[in-house]
Amino acid sequence: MTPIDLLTPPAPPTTTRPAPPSRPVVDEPMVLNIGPHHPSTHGVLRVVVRLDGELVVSADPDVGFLHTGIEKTFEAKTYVKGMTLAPRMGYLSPIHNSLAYVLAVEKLLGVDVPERATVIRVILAELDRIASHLVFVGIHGLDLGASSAVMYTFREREAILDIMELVGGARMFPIYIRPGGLSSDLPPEFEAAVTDILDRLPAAIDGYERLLTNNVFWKDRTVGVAVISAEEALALGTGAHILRATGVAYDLRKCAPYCGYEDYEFDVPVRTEGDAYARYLLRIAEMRESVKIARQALSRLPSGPYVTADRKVAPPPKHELATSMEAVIHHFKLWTEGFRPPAGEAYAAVEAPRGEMGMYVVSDGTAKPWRVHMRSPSFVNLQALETMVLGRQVADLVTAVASLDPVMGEVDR
Amino acid sequence: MKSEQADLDALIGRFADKILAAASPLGEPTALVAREAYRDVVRFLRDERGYNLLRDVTAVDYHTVEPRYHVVAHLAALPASMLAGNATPSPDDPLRALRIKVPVPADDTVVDSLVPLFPTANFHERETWDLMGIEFAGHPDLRRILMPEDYEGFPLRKDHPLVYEEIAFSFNQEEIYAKKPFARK
Repeated sequence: MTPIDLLTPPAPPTTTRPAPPSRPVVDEPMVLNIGPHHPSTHGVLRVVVRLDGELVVSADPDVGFLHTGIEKTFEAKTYVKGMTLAPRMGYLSPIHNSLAYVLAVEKLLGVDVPERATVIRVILAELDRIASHLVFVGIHGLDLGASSAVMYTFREREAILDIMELVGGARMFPIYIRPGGLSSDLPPEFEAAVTDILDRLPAAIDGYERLLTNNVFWKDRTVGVAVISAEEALALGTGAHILRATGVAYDLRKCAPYCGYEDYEFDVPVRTEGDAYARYLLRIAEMRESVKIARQALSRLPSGPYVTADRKVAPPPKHELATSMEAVIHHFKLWTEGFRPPAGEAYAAVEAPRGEMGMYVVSDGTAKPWRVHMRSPSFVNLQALETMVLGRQVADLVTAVASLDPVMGEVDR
Repeated sequence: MKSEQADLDALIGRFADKILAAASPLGEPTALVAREAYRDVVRFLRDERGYNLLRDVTAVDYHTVEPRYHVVAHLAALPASMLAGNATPSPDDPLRALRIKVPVPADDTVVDSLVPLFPTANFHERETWDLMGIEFAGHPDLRRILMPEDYEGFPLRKDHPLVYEEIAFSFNQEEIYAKKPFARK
């Protein structure tokens, strides 16, 4: 019997492990799904990206997750009931969506809008633009990791939403603009509230700029990133800050004025770099211009009726119902049946925060629209995504989506 | 002085009987164009009349009237001053906007695609195909965009059922049961 050797370490086992199977080197792009649920997709946007290493070979936006068939729903509602659908499509610029729809319906009806209602529409539209741009600045910062700006931009946005609640009763979707004018006159607190926010905004915008404009990290992530040329931007039909960042001064408020925009003094900021930083700077400048327009509108706010006197379009004032049989008939006909625009078609476009918001309304002479089509700017702008990120790092995709600023409700409708 | 009326006159001069109608109802210049000349008309407008922006492409279903569909394209001409960065165009050379309508019969819903002329038509035409069932010949990537890819039917057509299950009454139950044999169970 051999004594047990306690001092020599045991020999290692001689069996060898099988070598791991060699993986073939695949020389084809990797497919990566970004979204639909991802913090940087602004809702539910799925981008199917094909990558060569870190570089983007193709980026195909897959949309439709929020599709609710708004265009079809329009066909089953009277024109006034359709007012509830238009703003719900783009929840960051409800006033502009309502305005485009109302302008198209008014064109079909051939109704005159009182001056007071037009000026109030301008004030609300510019506040709406500022509120939308504030979300852009805040969320763009959040997407790129500069999470302070959003705290401050939402502070001012909240004040604007309070004004919307004041006039229309709802923060996000005030159904305040109606065919023929407005749903009611302004509350007495309106002017003070608007003056207050307009006074605060210039200093507040300086504050956002202190956080971002000269921030080294912010510039690293945006300067020269997501570049698009003027020819590409125009061919892809983009609008607003994307087109104007490439040097094309396309602003419907100047070249096809509505609501009397030709009477206001303001500039259309234009830059030529075509990158994400230029788009950010443009929107900062646009907010300052909007403050100017809103101030001018507030200073010239005329007195007078807030809605057209055409009883076939707008309901009579409440007090008439007690004394006038005709008023009761008009009221009854309007709320049961609605008005009937003559057969025809109208396209009305407004300069929404994201570009041209167009409404194409076809009437067959009945109380419900035959067809309503929305040319929503986010939907069109999204096509520019691939051009912006092609051949660039995949991390720039986040910057590109953020600076396109799509509202997915507006894309999918 | 450039105007939409001059563009409409030029269209009639160039395409003659392919322009079925040209008018400006409600102040919106509109040309009704025969289907076979659609892309040539838009190319002419782009190359020779300065229409450099395609705003929108969509379609309308005039159900029970033939031709049943109208494909509608909205074009705009941005003057050179705007392309150079000046937002206010001069009165001599304003922003011009034109609407092109193309009648499409119900049994042959194919029109030429505008993607070779304007890349922006890509999403618009995919949406029109998806919801209205108009096929665009020459489109590089014609597939559904808003509806699920396995969806059947075109929801914006006027004869698309609004509810999932058609309600069977005694007068039409045979017709509906023939279409949906499982409905009887």
